[in-house]
Amino acid sequence: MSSRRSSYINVEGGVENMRAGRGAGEWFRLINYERLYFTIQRISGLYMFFYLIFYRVLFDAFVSPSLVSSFDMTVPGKVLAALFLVFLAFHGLNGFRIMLIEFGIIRGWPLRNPIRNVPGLRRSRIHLIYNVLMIIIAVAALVYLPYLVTYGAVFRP
Amino acid sequence: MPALTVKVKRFDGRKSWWQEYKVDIKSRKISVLDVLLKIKEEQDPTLAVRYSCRMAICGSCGMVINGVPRLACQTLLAEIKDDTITVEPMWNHRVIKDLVVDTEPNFEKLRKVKPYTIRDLKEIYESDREIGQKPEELEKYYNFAYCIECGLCMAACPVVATNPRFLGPMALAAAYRWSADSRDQGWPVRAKIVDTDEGVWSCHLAYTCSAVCPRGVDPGFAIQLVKAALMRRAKKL
Repeated sequence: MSSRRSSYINVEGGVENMRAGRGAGEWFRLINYERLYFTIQRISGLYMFFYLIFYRVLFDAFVSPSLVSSFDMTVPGKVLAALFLVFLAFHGLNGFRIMLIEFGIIRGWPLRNPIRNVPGLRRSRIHLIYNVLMIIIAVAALVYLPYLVTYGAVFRP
Repeated sequence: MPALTVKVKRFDGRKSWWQEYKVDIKSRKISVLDVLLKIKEEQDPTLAVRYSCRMAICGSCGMVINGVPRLACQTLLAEIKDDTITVEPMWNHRVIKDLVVDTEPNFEKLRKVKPYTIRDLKEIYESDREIGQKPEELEKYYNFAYCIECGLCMAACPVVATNPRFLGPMALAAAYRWSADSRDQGWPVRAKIVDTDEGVWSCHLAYTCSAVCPRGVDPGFAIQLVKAALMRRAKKL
């Protein structure tokens, strides 16, 4: 969408059109924890897409299945597979959280305050419990990840 | 007197650069806007800042202070413990000069959702009946009516950063506020506008809009309420 005034300013004296911020780099600013979830959700989605489509499907099926199998046995191969599992868990859990909020199942209500109102989700006990569960699962996954890489068998989703 | 270092991201229409100012302050019980005006008066009259009411009502002085979108008049130095302050223009907006950004696209989006009461005019003009409202009906939208349209939520939204066509939290919260008003009959009209890719379905719940809102309007939550209403095909919010 263009501003009504932007064309006017651009015409006058060849002024550059500068947009503040970093575009997609805005995803990586940490202001609140939901934004961190948002960023990991996008990164995990992209990672899973490329891992499944490019590595698992295209490379495995059309380039060299034997090369993929031998790479899976190496530590980097296992790290990539373990990361896929961790991202899959996060993506699913966070996606489910968003669904619950969108359907109105997790719901608080903003608290009026003379200085500054408290946002609705900050007052939802179910949301708080769900967040704590997500953090516990994330910590467990991070602890399990080195074990999976060291002792895990070849993982093929 | 303690010296404060203020780093301002400037833009003169051609190039952008960081400029550093040293400001002597007597107390930390002043706002960032006061500091910027002190710089403007005593050191650099070319520094462009937009402001008006100085009491967080007009929403003119939105900018990014130490990495968080805030109102300069509402942000006291006492809240910022650091002796260095960085000030940038609001993200996701076209910069006109220094800290002044073009907020017109926000208002274009706001106008799209028809932010006013839609009601049968014949009923209003021909009837003597007063259109009343119960306290519980007021409660449904009262919090969302606090919006001062400062645009900080638009600056904070990571979706607006990559999708400028997204209506954004400011307009979508207004869509909820007006549709939830018991005196309004415009929900079917607004539902068609917000039930699109550029409407509520582009919101991925980063919730930064609600975190930075200087009035605690909670636009992120308003968007989820609209989504829930759309999914249950509600006739009225």
